[in-house]
Amino acid sequence: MDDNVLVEKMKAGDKESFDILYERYQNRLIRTAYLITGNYSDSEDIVQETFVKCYLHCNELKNNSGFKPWLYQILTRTAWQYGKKRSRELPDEEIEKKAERSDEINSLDLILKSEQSAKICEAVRKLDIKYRVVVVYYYYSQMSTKEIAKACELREGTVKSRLFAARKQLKKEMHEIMEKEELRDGKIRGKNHPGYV
Amino acid sequence: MEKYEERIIRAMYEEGNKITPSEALKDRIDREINNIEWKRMEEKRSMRKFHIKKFVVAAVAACFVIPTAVFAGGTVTGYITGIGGYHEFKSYDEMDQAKEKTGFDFSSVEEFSNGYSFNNMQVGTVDKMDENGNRFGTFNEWTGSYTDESGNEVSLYINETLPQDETDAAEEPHDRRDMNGVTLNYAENSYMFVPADYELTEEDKEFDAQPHCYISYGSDEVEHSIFRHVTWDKDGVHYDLFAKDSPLEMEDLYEMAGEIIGE
Repeated sequence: MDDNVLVEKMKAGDKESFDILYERYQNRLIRTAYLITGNYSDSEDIVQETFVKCYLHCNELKNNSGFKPWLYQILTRTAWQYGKKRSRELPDEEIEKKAERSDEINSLDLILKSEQSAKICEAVRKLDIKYRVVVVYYYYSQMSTKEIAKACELREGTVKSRLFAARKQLKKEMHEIMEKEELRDGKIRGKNHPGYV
Repeated sequence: MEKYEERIIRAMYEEGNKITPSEALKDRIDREINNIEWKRMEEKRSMRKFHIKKFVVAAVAACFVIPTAVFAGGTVTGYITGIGGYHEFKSYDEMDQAKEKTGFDFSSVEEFSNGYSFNNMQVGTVDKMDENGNRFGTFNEWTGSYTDESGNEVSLYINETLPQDETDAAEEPHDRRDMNGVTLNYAENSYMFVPADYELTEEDKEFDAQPHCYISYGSDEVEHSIFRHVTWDKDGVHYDLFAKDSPLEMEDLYEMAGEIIGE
């Protein structure tokens, strides 16, 4: 069923439509929140608050077709608040979860790539939150600068300039990470090659 | 797109896709929504039933969770609560549908002459609770909210008149008058809301012992409120016009009630 229809039904108090929308957006939102905060429990809290506000305030959404940017707008505001008040320290549970996930990855190549990906995401998280949000929305959520402007309640020009500044900062760090990655990739490929002695 | 940007995307997908919400998250969301909705309803509802025996809000409809805040306006029992089958209507034009949901006909107005105008309405089910907190029946209730330009609110509660033994007034109203053959009762109740673990002082006990003064447990902090009601029964329907901490005085509420009766 189309989002618009579900939103209309949710506005009329239909809980089932809300449940379907939750199913549809839960992964996207928690992953976005996680990439912004780097903290699993914060991400869950942010998504919880986002959906609660979504249900309780859905009648304030005038145009049903604007549901997705509106939902991200709530997420942005909430993540922003969390970003300001929370430290980046991972709780113990978080460390355990990361360890569990690492155990699941068993090939050396995957481990290295995963490590590099984690470093890249860490580099993103080092950005100031105003740049970080824009970067996550642009690269991960694949939103246009116009959509980001709506979600972040900014002018499109501001989004573009933040993206520019973020790219500049990331490019430096990425250069180093990618150089190491290419070097390792080369070694691994060489080692696994049938002609390797 | 430059190569490093492609790598950022890949990294984000690799990292992001490892994350899924916990199974408990949806339950937490539903519980919080229910709690907030329940509190909203309860704020309006729990303190207004002067015409009903002193009440205890003890349970909610099966589909909703037990709320954390439980207001008890006295020692006995009575009724109330339950937001199962709750429907909200934003437009006065939907009155026919709302009445259909309520299951009976009644009088109402869209705008009062003092400037209070229709804001929204809800139809819900109220549970009747026995002394042990068991549900022994339900009735439908229509609730309308009206606001003035400054945002002051007055509510109107309408349900079918309940049997006398269930609506036995705990206390005499402050004032009573006839209007077009209908008897209107006016009551002004003072409430003190206190946290669940609050220990009453001697002064509090004296307050509680006075007529039309109640202490209710379950709020986050100590709060005082005044509730003014005008209630009446007409054609088998019970009306309760209710204002909390409002600039509306007794005469204002009588006048508004008169407009509903004359509708």
